[in-house]
Amino acid sequence: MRPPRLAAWLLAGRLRPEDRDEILGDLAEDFDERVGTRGETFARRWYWRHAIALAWSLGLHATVVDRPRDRLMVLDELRFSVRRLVRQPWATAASIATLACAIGAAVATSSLVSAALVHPIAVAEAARLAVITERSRTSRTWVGGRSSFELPYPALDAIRSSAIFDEVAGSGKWAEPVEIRGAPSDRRVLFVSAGFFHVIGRPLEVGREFSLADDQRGAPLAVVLSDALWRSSLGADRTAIGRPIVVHDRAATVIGVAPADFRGLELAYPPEVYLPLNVIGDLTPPQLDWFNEPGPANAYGPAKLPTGGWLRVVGRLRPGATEAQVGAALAALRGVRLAGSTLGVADGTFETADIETAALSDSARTDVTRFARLLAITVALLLTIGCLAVGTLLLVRSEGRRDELAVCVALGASRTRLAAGIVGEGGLLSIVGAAGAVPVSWWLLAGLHAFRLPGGVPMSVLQVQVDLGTFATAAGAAVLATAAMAVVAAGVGLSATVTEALRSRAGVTPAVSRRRTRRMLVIGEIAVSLVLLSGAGLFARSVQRALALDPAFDTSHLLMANMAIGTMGGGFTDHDFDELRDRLNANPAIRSASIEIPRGSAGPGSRMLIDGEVRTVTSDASEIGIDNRYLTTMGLKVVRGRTLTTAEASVDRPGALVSASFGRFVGRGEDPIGHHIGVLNWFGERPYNVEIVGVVQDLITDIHALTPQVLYLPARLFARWPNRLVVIHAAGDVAAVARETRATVTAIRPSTPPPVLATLKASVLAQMGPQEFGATVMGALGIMAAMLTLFGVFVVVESTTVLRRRELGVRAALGATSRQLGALVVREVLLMTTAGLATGLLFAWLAAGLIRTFLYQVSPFDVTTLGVTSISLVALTLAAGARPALAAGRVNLAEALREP
Amino acid sequence: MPRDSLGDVEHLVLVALLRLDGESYAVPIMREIRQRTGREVARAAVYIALRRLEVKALVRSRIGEATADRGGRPKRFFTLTRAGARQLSQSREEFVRMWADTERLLQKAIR
Repeated sequence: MRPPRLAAWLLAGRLRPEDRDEILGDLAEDFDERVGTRGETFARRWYWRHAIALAWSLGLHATVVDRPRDRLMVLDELRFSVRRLVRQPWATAASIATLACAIGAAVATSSLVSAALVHPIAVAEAARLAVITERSRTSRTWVGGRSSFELPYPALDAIRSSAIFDEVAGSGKWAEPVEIRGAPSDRRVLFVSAGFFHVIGRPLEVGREFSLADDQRGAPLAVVLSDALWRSSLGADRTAIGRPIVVHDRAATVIGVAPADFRGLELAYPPEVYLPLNVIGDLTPPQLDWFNEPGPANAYGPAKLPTGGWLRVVGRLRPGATEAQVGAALAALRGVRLAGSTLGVADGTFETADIETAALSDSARTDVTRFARLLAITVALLLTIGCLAVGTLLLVRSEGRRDELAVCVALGASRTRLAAGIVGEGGLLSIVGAAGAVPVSWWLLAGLHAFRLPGGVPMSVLQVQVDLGTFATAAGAAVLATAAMAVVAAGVGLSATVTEALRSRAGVTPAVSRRRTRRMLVIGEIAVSLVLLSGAGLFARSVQRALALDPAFDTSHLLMANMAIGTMGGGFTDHDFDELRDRLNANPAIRSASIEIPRGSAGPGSRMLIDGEVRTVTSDASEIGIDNRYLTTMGLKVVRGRTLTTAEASVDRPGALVSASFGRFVGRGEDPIGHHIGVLNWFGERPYNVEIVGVVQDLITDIHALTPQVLYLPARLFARWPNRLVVIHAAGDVAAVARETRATVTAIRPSTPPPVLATLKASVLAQMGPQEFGATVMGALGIMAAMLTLFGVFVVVESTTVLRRRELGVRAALGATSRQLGALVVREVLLMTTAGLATGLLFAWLAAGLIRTFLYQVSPFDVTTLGVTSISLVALTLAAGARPALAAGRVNLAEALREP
Repeated sequence: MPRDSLGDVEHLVLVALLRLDGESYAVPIMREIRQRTGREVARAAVYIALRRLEVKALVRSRIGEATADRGGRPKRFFTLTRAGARQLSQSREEFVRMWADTERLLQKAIR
């Protein structure tokens, strides 16, 4: 048995030739003995351990075991490199900081992409888990735009009984008020079937999960808390298992805590509380039909409101099951599912989807992928600029040493050794930069928590950690790129002959070709800065455009809060809402307050009865129940017709108002007043046939619905609808009004959780999360890039001016004025900047397709943004060149000639 | 005669060499130290100690024959020199003198 060859080879390289045979022979003898006594695996590991220890320890004892001469030389060169770097502390610090930021940003981005796209959810054996989906050719828009990943309740039993999968679990989401230690709050709840955590391969570490007995309608309420809620509300107390809490006015018992890294099956919905699946009907409004039990139908439709597809069914595939087998078995399920469902999707088919893919909806996945690509390019640009900055520094430094290096070579120094010194400098800079990248990436990831990805994925739930593999790759790439730059710098530094070096003593201005390389580097930096800064500008313009959608409204003073009546609202009654409205309107800090009933919206393709004719709406159409203060509170003006009279606000002869956009649809471009609309009543009451009496301005609350289709109806029509929206127009300090409103709600009914109030401006801003994120990230990186560019311009212009001192002095002696001499420097700055801007605009044109998706009402070639960015960069580079230009104007030939 | 006092590992190496009939190579020396003291002395420390002892002329070395079980590599045999033996003896006497009448004190300190 031979010892590991690689280990032996590595050790041999570290030993003196006269020691090599003895030490390697001794090790081989011991290795042989260990193979006999402890086995081969142990012996090989032992050999590696001792070979590494010997290589390291013998290297440290140079007085006894001589180090090879070449290693001594390398160490000396490294020492000299450190000395040279320390002599220019600011330039060195700037290079290290750039590399640290660039590598840190690259690591943070890659880790984010991995968490959002590659491994979005923490389940065991993800390859064996599948989400069962339904593909349908017919429109299902009336279900409310749910994705096809969710199925109606009967599908769970049908899939479970079909024995296609080893195990099957279901889950559905719904927010519930949960009170822990007397603090009520609306929590994201995931209703899960018994054995859910077992099916996804994530058993609970604290407590137990739901049993079949827990997962029964009417069963005593058992609760599993998320790890985050357990820590924040119960201080990670393990004895909290068995503790009573209140869920929706019902006593419940905590039975377990979900694994810390498990954040549900959907990225956009990280659950805080888990409840048994079948108790969903016990907690939610009785009008909702979760289990496909519509009850006796009346003339106007089902007595209960169908929930449609709400259940995400997850199955663990049997070992060895092929895709074809699963597909065939699921196809056979179609009839079974239809028998238990009222959905009537005749042509729907079941399919399976990868559980990690299903964590994001298709559209969100596309957007996140695009966004990740944009981020990756941004970071790559920053990494490039970091390497360019370091390259510029090394180049200028090695150019400054050309004469010295030429003399060294003439005296017999090895070119390899001299080049190694320069490359070592680059290597040192990049290694220190990589070390600095660790805290930068942590800081960036912590800063990302406040943002949302496209698709509404809050970054705080992703729990992104710095990935060591990614870090090694990014750091390795930066080290290699810097080393490559250093090789170029070494090439430039060593290109001089001793004759040239001696001639340069005469003060000859260096040839233009020698300055070309560093000019190219600065041009690259200016180009990257332009791309990053204009990207940030375009994102910022998008956010600005979104906020200016309602120019006639003061969206910063319009506060809104979602509430509900009955059990959903913590016992708040209609009478309580009337009292709340009265008290708020009596508050001098509030201009007006109103209670709105948001009836939800019907998606494109929904049908509507207008003047007895069934018409299909082409975009989201929503119904809002309004009271008599609504228009005043919102500041909406009636642009045609009139507002509702008292009689029209009643149930007997209701009237309606429409938004301007919806009015155009109803009246087919003509006046909509006098037209009638049939309003469906989900509660089994008779439908209303309302007459349009007025048209109000469009109010944009969803940035993607610029022509809002809204039907305003008397609130009394929907008295049984559970949701309410409290709308307040604050006169002054909105934060104070929000506090007072919460206090008023608690004063009226202490059992009701205080509502969360947000301004309309904030809710519009929240829809611009990715744009805000893009503006912040690209802005920060762009500023960094611009600073580096300034540094690069200054270094290049200053060093060129120093090299040209004698030439400038001769020009001055021949009669050139200070202005003319300064103009020479300014011209160089302008040439570089113009070339950089042209290159940057080319890059921006190439990247336009990538950024276009995320821009809102702004073109990627927005003249204002690109113009302001370009002018700013010109001004900044001129400022950087000002000092060298002034110095050039003051050159004195006598002084220049006296210089060594 | 070299007057430098012996280091800990140098001392152990010299005693091990004495026990191995005054001539041996690194592998048995390390094994002897391990078996007698129960200590796992670092391999590199033994090589460094042997080189130092050779520089101090307390041991001398010769290259042996190459053998197959060592991958065809020869052993380096070390022999205790007269100076080495004297140094070891002196070192032992120093220790003995230092340790004289300390048993009671040591037991007291341990308690």
